[in-house]
Parts: sequence; C-alpha cells; structure tokens
Amino acid sequence: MIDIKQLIKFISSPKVFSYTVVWLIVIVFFGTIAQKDVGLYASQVKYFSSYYFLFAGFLPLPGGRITIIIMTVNLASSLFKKNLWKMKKLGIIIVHIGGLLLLIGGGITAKFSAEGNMVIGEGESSDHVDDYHDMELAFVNTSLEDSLEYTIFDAPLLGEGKRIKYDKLGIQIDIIDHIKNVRIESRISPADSIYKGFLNDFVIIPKQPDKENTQNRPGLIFKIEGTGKETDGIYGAFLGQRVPDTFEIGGELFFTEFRRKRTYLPFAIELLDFKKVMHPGTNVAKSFSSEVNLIENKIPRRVLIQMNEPLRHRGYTFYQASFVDGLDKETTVLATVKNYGRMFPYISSIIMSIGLLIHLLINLPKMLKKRSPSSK
Amino acid sequence: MSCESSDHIRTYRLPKQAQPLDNDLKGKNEFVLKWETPEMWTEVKGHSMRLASFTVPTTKGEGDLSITTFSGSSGGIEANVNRWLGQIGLEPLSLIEIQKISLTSRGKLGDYQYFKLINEDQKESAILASIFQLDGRTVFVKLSINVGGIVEAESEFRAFCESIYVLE
Repeated sequence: MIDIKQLIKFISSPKVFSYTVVWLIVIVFFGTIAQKDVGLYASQVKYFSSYYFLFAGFLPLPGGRITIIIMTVNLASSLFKKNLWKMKKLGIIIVHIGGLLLLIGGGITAKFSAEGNMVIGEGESSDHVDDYHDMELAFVNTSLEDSLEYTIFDAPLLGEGKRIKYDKLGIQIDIIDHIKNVRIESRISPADSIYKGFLNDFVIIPKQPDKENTQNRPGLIFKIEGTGKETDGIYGAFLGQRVPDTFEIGGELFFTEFRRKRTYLPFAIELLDFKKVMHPGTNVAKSFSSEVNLIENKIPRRVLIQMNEPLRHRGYTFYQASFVDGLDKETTVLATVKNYGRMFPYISSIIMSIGLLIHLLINLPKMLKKRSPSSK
Repeated sequence: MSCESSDHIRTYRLPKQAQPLDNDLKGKNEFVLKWETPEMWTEVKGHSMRLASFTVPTTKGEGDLSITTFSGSSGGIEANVNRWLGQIGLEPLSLIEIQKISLTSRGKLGDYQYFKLINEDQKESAILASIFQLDGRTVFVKLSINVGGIVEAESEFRAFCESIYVLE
C-alpha cells in the first residue's frame, strides 16, 4: 500500500524544486538560442508550450509545460507538510503560497490568453481581433435577407486528415492538406473535374515557411461532400484570398473564407488620427500614436494610445505596435492581448515580498542574539 | 449579433451593412471595373478568381474570355506571357522578345500591352491578351480561342479592352 506520508515527502522535496528550476534555466537557454534559427513562435511552441520535445530529433526531454506542472505540484504538496505549519514558519508559508499563485497565473495565461492584432485605417472602426497564429475556416451564408450567417470551423478541426461532419448544413469536409506557407500559381494543363472553384485554374504550392509565423500565408485544401453533384469536390483557400469560392448548399449561396481566427469584442475602436514622428533625416519612427474613439453601447470615449501607454479595457490591452503607410491615409496596427492571468504576477510578488519580510522579522531576534557579544 | 457554438464549430450572424471586411476585400470593393460588352458575347459563371467570364462566339467556334485582377505586378509581364505561350505549346521568350511582340495601346483604364499569341502548328488554341499595369494592381484580359476565331474576334476584343474603366 502506498504510504501517503512518503509520497508527499517525495513529491514535496525541495530537491525536486531545485532540479526543475535548473532545468527551466536550461530550456530558456536552448529556447533562446533556437529563436535565431526557427523564430520566436516556433521556439516558444517547441520548448516552452510543450509537454516534451525531442532533443537531436530522437531523445524526448521534458518541455516547459510539464516542468512548470511538476514545480506547481511540488510547491502545492509542500504545503501539506506538517512541520511547515508552525508560527515561526509563517513567512515561508506565505512565500510558498505566493510562488504557487505565480505558477497558477502562468498556467491560466498559457491556457486562456489570446494575442492578436487589430488593424484600423483612419476614419474606420473595428470590433474584432485577428489571432496571430490560429486560423479558422468560415462558411458564410449570403442568402439571408439582412444578415450574413457565419459557420466557423476552428483550428483544431483543420489538421491534415481530419473529417468534419456538419449535419446542420448536411455536409462533410475532409481536410486534405493544411500548409503553413503557400504560393499560388496558374495551372499549366487543365484540371481534373474534381477540382472546383479557383483550384480549377490555380494550384496551391507549399513554400518554405518563414521564421516569423506571422509572415507566412497558410493554405488549406479540402474536399466537400453534400453540396450537390456539381459543386462537390476539392476546394482550396488561402490567407488573403481576394475572391472567395462560392457554392450552393440547399439552395442557399455560401462563400468560404480561410482567415486568422477572429474574436469579436463587445466594443469597437475607431481610428480618428494616426501620428508618427520620425528620427530626423531617417525613415525610422521615433514615436507613433493613435487617437481613437472607444465606442461602447454607441457612446464614444476619446483615448490616446501610444508607445508604452496602452489602452486597457474589459480585460483587453491594446498596444501601439505598428502602422501601415497608405497613399491617402494611414493605418494603425494595435497588438491586442487578453490575459486573464495578468494580475497574478503583481499579486504573487506582493505576497512573496510580505512573506520574506515576515520571515525576516520572525528570525530577526534570533539573528541579533547570535551576533550580540553576550551570546559568545 | 447572435451566436451558438459547439465543439470548435460556431455560428453567428452579422448584419450585412455592418459586415466587417478585411483589408483585401475592402480593396476589392473599392476597385470596381466596368466595361462595354459586345452584343454577341454572353456573360457566363466563371471561377471565383475571375472578375467576369464571357463566351465569345465566332463562326469558327467559341472562345473563353476572362478578366482577372491582382494586386502588385502578379509575377510581371514576362512570367505571365511565357505561361500563356506554354499553354499554346510555344517556347518561353525573353523580356526583350516579349516587348517586341507586344503592342502598346491606350484605353479608358490607361495604357495596356496587347498580345496576339498564335502557334502555327497548333491551330486549335490561340490567345489574345491585354495587360493593364496600374498603380499597385494588374488587370488581365485574356481570350482563349482557336486561330480561325481570333481573326473574327480581334476587333471586338480590342474594343472591349479599350472600354474598361474604373467605377468611381
């Protein structure tokens, strides 16, 4: 039978914490080096967001996620140690709780946070954020009188070989290929009749992915069944496709859109004016700012977003990230982050500081006694 | 906006007027081409990359005309003309040679380069094409037809190209 005390002693051992901290340092080192070759996103996915990664292509080693989970379990289980719960160890208990909160906050950030950008031209407004990395396939029904009905298939369904059965539209979609980066070329010879839409005249060709994931143009090749004899077949879609493919389902006209995962916000941002100041004699921006209207419930509120002064609203943070120079107007690019664990580092740091202070105060008399001449 | 979701599949509705468009689609909507269609041509449903498709009838057979537009140079004149030459079984040419076989004309849309591509050994397919290189955008008009049909359709094709304009 498992001895609970022994188990807690093992998993709460300070040695486990020490080893995981050292391992995290190793991962951070290799992850940082790898960024140079594979880019920030790929390195983050491989070393930090993974449960394990293959070293030299064959040796599985613990990734950042499993390391953090071990650390969290270790810290949490250490709180079950009976000899910890003493008045003189109050400071240590508080430091442990603060550390645990920091790790839990990291977990919440990793699991639930989203990053993307909002692109707004001067005089225009936007109420959605496009994800940096995740894609989605949208089937848009245009046959309704005053609205467009979007059916969105999220990224987890769009992996190569996946099959989506969607009874509401009576269709089945088989994902033939999901390519990270593509280029489009015209067909040289006539296409087989199974290819529909733009694939009838063009081909999607895989291209070497760029190190920076946001620079890639993903493409999707999929087979649709259930729309009818004429329109069933293999379709293609790619990011930024100017003219979407259209087809009928049950007498209603649909078009497809392969786009970055879109999150709609309960408010909109209107760009009133974009300003940039260049370093004299160069094309390098010294500072740039966006004067915007934050529109909620049809009530506008004027806000200035500039470098290091983001707009925070309803859990979203909008940073001035970039801009696009246009012929007649400028466009701002706001990096948008929704981080549910945003407050955890602040709170846990305060808690740990208080813990360390209490620990110091509790041990101060003993330390002073040791140093006083009478104790010698 | 109404919404429902299950297992990575979501549906929602957006009003048509407030339909948010991405920048590419906005660009497409802002650039609307119009033209005067010759009487005998019939507009047909083409594939989605085309702005429009027409069937061009002649006594020697029907031709397929397409109008497409892409941002940027879309590969440039050399790549596109050589692709068309390949489609009718001819060897690729250098840019200088391509310029020699092109004719520069002017239409409502601006100057364009006109190409008449014929393979004497393959009379069933020939191409008439025009390329408009606009500011940040290229418009292609291409008629695929047999050699006999080209003679009949050429004047209408040229008139059609010259009639294309941007809807302000």
